[in-house]
Amino acid sequence: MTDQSGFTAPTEAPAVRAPRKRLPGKARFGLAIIGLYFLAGIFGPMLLPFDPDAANILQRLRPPSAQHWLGTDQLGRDFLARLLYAIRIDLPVAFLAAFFPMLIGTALGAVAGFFGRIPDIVVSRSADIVQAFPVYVFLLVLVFALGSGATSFILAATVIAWVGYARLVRGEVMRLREMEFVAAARVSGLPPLRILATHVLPNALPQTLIYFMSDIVMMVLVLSSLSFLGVGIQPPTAEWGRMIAEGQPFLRSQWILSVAPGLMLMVFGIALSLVADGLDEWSRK
Amino acid sequence: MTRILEIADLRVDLSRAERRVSPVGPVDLWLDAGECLGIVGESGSGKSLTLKAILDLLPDGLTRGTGTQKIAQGGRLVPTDPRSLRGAKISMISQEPAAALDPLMRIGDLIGEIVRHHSGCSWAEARLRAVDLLRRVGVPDPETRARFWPHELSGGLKQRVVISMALACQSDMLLCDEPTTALDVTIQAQIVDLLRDLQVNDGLGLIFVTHDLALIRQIADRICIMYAGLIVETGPSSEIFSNPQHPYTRALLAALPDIEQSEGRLVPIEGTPPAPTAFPQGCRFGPRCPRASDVCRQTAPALLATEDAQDVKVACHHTGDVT
Amino acid sequence: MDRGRFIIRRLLQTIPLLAGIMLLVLLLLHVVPGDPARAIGGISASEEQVDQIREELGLNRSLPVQYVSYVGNALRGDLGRSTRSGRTVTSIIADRLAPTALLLACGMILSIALSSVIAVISARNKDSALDFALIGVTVAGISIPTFWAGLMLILLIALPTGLFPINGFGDTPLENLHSIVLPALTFAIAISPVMIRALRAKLVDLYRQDFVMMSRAAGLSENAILYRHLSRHAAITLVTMISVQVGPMIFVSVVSEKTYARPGLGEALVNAVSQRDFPVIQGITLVTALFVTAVHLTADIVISFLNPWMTLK
Repeated sequence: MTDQSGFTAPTEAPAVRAPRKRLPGKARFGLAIIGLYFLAGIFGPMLLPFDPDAANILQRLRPPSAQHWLGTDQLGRDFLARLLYAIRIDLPVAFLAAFFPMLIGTALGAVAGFFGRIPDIVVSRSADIVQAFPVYVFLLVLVFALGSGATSFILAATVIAWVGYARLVRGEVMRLREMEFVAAARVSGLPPLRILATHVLPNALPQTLIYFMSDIVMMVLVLSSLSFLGVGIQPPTAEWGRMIAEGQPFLRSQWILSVAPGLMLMVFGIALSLVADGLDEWSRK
Repeated sequence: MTRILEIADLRVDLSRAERRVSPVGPVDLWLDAGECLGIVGESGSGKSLTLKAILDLLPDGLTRGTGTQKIAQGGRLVPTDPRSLRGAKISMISQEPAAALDPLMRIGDLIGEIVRHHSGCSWAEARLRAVDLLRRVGVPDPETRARFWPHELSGGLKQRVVISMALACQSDMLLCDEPTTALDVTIQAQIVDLLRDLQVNDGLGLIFVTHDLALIRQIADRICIMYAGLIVETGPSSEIFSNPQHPYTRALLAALPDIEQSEGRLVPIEGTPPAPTAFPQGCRFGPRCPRASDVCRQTAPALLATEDAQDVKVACHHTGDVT
Repeated sequence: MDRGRFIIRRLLQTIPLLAGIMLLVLLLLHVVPGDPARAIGGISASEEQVDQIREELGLNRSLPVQYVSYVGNALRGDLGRSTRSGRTVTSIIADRLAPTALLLACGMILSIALSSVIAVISARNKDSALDFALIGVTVAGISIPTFWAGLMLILLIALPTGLFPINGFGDTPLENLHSIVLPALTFAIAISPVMIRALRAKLVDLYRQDFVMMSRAAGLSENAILYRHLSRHAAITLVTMISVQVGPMIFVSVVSEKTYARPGLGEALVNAVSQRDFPVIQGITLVTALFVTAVHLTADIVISFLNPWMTLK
């Protein structure tokens, strides 16, 4: 917690310091795993002497060996290189596909919740219509209409996923609007947008961030699912979902091609869930 | 008088603590048939936990410690598992009648379910008995009210329904956990009258927990004053009110505005009661006590009978000192 | 508020919603970058073919006119014709409905059963090792992609034992049921974790309520409290969760149909996407949106019956 009392800190160090709230162990564990993904994504492809997209038909479907630690795929590409290279695709795309909806959804939800009336009606009814569609099916169709690829995915996600943030923030803002400190700010004559930005939104932030994290998990899963269905990231770019789909015909002979990318997705998802959970506990303390 | 409940060494412990921390106890309690025992204390004194411990209904994180609990059975006092007493020998009513009723069940079904559980009768009969019970606790037009949902009743009526659910158990003892705190003053009086009537006319033993001294003076035959998880003074209601011994009891009574000696002046007690993890050594009231001496800071006083009144017990090193 | 009035109001709210849904479905064609008719025809299509597509889809008319005719046709059950096979979209959907409906029904039942059992075990043993283990499995379940779960079931169950078919729908009712086992399980793996979380949280909260303590004080057994009291509250949570999760459920069925090569609506959608068959894509999107709306509406009405005090907005 930051000091919200407005008093200046005493010049002398206090004898007993208030115990600082530490992030719970599981959140730090989750952060450590995500850190490993970052390191592996940044340095992994540099350290391996393979081009993740370089096909070599003579070397196809080789089992793990000293040279190719996880073997090669159906086009003879080094599988470990592709697995690590995919971090550079899946993580940033999923992050942005959750980040832009958060920006737009938070803004719309805050305006709707704070001002009510017509802004609220417009935002809430639009959200109703978007929510009438099965979210990810709609996303699939929209990505297709916009043309497959990362940009389309992020754009389509923004069109659809803002709704969740808008609902969450609208509810929080409506709750906070009625509280004492906001009333006090109003009485003191601060302009409404200023009150919203400085007094209301910061208090709605923790819940939004927690939602954002679980949304990244969802987005990375949806991105890989769309790629699996042939709509997301296009070959030859390495992407986990696409890699699982390409490995499916070889499930019997070389299961690692399907299993490993799924594990990468799962561990990332668990790590981020742990961070979100930990953050939730931390913000409630 | 026949004794129907006798508890020795009752404790409530924190479940997950490195050392033994007991927010309550050790406490000794007993109840005679048709008697009303009042347990009085500030909030946080452990009075409500004591009551819940009798039926082992403690919230998460607290466990009932050792101690024996005997119950009258065929004219003898027999040690009994607290959980087996629930609804059978002892029933309970709580502070917040609105929260005590399942909002998704009709009043008649709530009562009928308990009737059925204890008598094994048919649903049709249970419903009739439910209506009878509602009539007995003074709910007007019970046939109609039995079909109401809890949220359709006022606070006072809800508490009557809660009492009728307790009566549906047909037990000998009723534990009342601040049953009137959440109610308006006029409704409070009606509920107290109802409980009194059940005690006097039906011979129901009551253990009544409250922080309201004026109320306890009206209804209790015997009183336990609790402070920081321990009984500091106990005895017949009349004795306690006319001649309080323990400094804490005196302070409590002095805080009552309508007691003659206080000249209408409200005297607040200095300080706050300690948390269970920080009970002081020696007498737990010591730090707030005007008469505390070295011995009070060293050893905890035992609850002992006083010289002038045999049925009054006080836990104070300075009992009998001239004030 | 009176229940009847609530239901009528809720039904009336659906009308503008349906209008909005159809507008969005129509607009799908127009978010295509460049000329939609060209995009559908592909680069190899001749100028005449592109003109023909434009004519067929009414793209040469103004948007309001297109909208009115689309709504009018849709209300008469005419969702256009496939630009690939020339069949009516309605007949394609009718053909593909059965496998999807069976998957949704079986998957939903399995998810509800699984979530209820696990949530009750977890909540009753709150903070025990078992509870933590179940929470761990739940978090893992949220974090794996549906199609991967499906593949793992094939790899770990179907291939070693040979007990279950890994693709198709079968021809007889018995074969249909046999073929549904793994897809339904996949569905449950994808949907249950979120439901378990919500149900467990609800049950943990309920076990702290005064009325549970009072029921215990009256001597009712833990099972009686669970079945006669808590189940009613949990039912409301379950219906709410089904309502919230219906969108993801449809996506999950699309993905698991693709994984197990089941000839359902989802597979038809994915095929239509790969063939750029816009009328079919629009038709299936519209049907799924109608289904979602119907589930939301039904859930709200069911909850209004389960909840006597109507804390509905």
